[in-house]
Amino acid sequence: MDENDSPLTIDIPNVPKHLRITGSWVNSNRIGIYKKLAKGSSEKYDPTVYILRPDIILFSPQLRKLVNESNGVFLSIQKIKSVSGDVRPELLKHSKQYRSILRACIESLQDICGKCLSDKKESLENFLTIFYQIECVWHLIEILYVDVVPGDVILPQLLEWIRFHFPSRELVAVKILAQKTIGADLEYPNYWEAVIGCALHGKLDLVRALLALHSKADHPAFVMAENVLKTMPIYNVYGGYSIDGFTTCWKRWQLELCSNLNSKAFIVDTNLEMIMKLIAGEQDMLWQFSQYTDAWYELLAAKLFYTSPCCKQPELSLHANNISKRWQANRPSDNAIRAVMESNLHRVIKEIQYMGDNGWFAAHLVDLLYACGKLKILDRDQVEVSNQLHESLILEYGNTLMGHRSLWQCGASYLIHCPVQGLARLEILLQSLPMGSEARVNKILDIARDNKMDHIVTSICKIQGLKSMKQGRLGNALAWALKAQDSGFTTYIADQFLKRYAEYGELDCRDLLENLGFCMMASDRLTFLGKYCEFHQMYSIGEFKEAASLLVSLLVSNLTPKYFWSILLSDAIPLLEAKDVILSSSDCFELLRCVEAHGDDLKFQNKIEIFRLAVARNLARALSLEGCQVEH
Amino acid sequence: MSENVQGTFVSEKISKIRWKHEDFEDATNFITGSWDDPVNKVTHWTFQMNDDGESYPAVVSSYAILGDVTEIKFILKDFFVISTSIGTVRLLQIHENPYSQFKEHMSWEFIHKFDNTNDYASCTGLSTFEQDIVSVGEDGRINLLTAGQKQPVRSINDADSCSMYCIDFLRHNEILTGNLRGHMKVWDLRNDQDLPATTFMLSDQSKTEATSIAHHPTQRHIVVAGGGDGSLTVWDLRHNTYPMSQLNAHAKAVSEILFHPDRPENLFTCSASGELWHWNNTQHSKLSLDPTNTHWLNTIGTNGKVNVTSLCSAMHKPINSIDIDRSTLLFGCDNEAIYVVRNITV
Repeated sequence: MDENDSPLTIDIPNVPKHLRITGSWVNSNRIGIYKKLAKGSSEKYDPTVYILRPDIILFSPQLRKLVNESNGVFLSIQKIKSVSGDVRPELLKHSKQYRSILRACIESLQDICGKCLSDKKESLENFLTIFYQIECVWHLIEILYVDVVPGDVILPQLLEWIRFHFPSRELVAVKILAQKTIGADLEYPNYWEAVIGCALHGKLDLVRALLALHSKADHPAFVMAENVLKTMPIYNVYGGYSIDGFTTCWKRWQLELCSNLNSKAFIVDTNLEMIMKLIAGEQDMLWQFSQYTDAWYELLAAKLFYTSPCCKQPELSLHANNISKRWQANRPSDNAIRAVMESNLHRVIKEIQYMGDNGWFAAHLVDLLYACGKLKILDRDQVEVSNQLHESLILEYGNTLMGHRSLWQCGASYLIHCPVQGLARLEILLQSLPMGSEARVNKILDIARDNKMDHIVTSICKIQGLKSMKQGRLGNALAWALKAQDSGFTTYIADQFLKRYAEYGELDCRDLLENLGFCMMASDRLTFLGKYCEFHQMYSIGEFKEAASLLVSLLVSNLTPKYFWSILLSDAIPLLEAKDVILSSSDCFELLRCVEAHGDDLKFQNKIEIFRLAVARNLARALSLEGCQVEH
Repeated sequence: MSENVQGTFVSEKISKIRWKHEDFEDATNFITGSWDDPVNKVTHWTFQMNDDGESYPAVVSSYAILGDVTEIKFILKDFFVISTSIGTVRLLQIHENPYSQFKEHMSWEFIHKFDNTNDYASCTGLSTFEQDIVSVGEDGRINLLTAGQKQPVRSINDADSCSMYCIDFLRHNEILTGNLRGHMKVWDLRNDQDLPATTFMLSDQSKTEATSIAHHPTQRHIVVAGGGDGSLTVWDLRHNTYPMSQLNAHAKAVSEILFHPDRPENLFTCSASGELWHWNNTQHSKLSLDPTNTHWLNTIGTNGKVNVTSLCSAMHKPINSIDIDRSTLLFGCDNEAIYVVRNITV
């Protein structure tokens, strides 16, 4: 940026002179400001924090339509970029779509503006000015950069552009013509204004029609004017003659007009004479008529039309410079338009960033030009920086949108298309989004998954899991841990289940644990928990044989956490004491081995005698039974 | 975008969209609910003609809602129930006189909440059967409500240890719920025990969440459920809980499944991937010559008899909700627009 940029100053209230303030970023577009006390200061500590954020007009409900609709066009352009072949016509279509979105936005703003109260009106009018200017600049850029102008003669398109954006005088002319009253100059006080306006816009047919309604239309001077206008050569690429041929023809016509002017042929009416002078290309007259124009480029178009109708793009900048300098135009849009005509895209982009639209224009325009292959920006050292500039503008715009509670999805789709820094930025911003309902979380996860940010998926799922735990919903926490595919976290939650069982003697969330399926394998602890739950399930429906074999397999599995041994061993006692022999002799040996190894738990001390006795009795029964079976 | 699709940008992300059906004529009014803004809205729309003779949606009235709108269901011509992400269910009426506005008839505040922390929980879905309303939420609770009564008729507090995502009234005494883990549970409301009658899985292979359920309009035992992975699963609950067919459909979560109410041989699905599909079996439904007499949904995955068409080119943001009236379909999308698709062949 330029050295002469004046930074915005904001006063922080209630800060005495001798105090310093300091700030830190809250998120990407908020900054927290607070007072800083000097060491040893006797000042009372003031806990007030001021949050500063830029005022983003795009977040107002009237403009959110623009944001979302243009997002669609932007994404469609990204698709075109990957297509080979001549994409220029497609891009022109998209440029027009952007403009029609702008138009729709302006129209709806006008609609609301007409209906609303004065306090809101001011900001709406401000929006209107901004988007009027944007549309005007966009249109010109479309003509000069996106569209392919046949023969490179740009005047016809330029005139069209002017007519489109300054329609008021032509509308007056049409109104006058519709009445068809002879002597219109006497009836309508703005008759000449309309004629001059049309002449400046090169609308010669309208000029002729208006002159025909003049009270002195039959006067030889008017007849001659009609003749001059009728015979004025207009360049047409498809007209079948070369530029040189046309120029000779046009010069001859101009000379004839000049000689008529010199012979005072039009002196009967001063206005008529002035117009004929303008048409003959007299500079002074052009400037006299500048009071009938709203912008310098209206005058520029008139000048080109009457003095160099075959002007090509490179010559444009000279004319533009002359006129805008004399006009002393310096609104951002004036500067931007001059820069466009000078083919200085770097300056264009700089100027449009001052338009106060939060980067919407710059980001979308640069992207379009980039897609057209028209963006060639050199920095001070003549190094091409187009890629960087393109990326940084889109990045900034996406970043701005990500700061909104609801537009973050839209913002993300811009960041995704920044090849260098986009994903890294998205990663950071996705994690800083407030979470909310699980429906919202699932949408955030979708974006992370789309961009293969597995660690973000894991971390968000874990946050959800922890949140569920705080709410005392172990089951839901486990579900999120499984989604996260984080075995450490799964183990932690499975442990919580087992510990709760150890403490309260009840398994929570049976509906979930009984239906884990193969997810049970996510961690050893969860496998243990799932199998233990299955054991309870079998036991409760009287499938003791199944239950016992599950229990034994758990005992030998080596998955048992230390605090759970006493429970597992106690669970064996009723099975050992059952009426039928359920556990085999080898099972009994396993049990004995386990109780030797792990039976020293304090909680188990009062049961260890019973356990041993039960094993011994079961072993006796089992051995005799097995002995009988062998004999048979 | 094809010609018969008309979009309107509305400056809010649409979570639900529902026609207000009329008895003997085409519906002309509909309701939308928004989400993700600090204050969301339920909006009543109608169609108006612009200067070019095109009909376009215009706002009739709107009603501010705290939290996201998570479901809208009509129970009578003018009466509808909405649920929100702050655990509240409301019964609203579209009031025409003296001027058009919403009238609140009943509000069940915070009927979904986490008992431990006393925080509200999102009410993720509701289903209605005449005057009866049943809602589920992230707190794993099922609430039975009836339109005329402030107190819930019954609450099943620990219906699920995970967040519940979808619900459907199968019969007056039977509901089906789906949760974050893809567990589908049939509940018999006559049973006083707070236990499901049956539990089955959305999918055995992948543990994905159940995101939406719909039943066949005339054969209520035929149930279709959509998954977080974009899959569709069909069951015939008369026989068993083993799925009749199962297929990978959308690229991302299925947001809503909708049978055409009058022509149930048409099924519509939309997805977080931005796809909107029309499943059509018209040519085989009128005369069933199939000797095995299997239901068309039975075979959607296996043979080519069912036409699947995309009703619009894929949106670049999730489509959250769809509804159809005769041949006109509405859908609402996260790109803050509502779309009307006209002249669908059903």
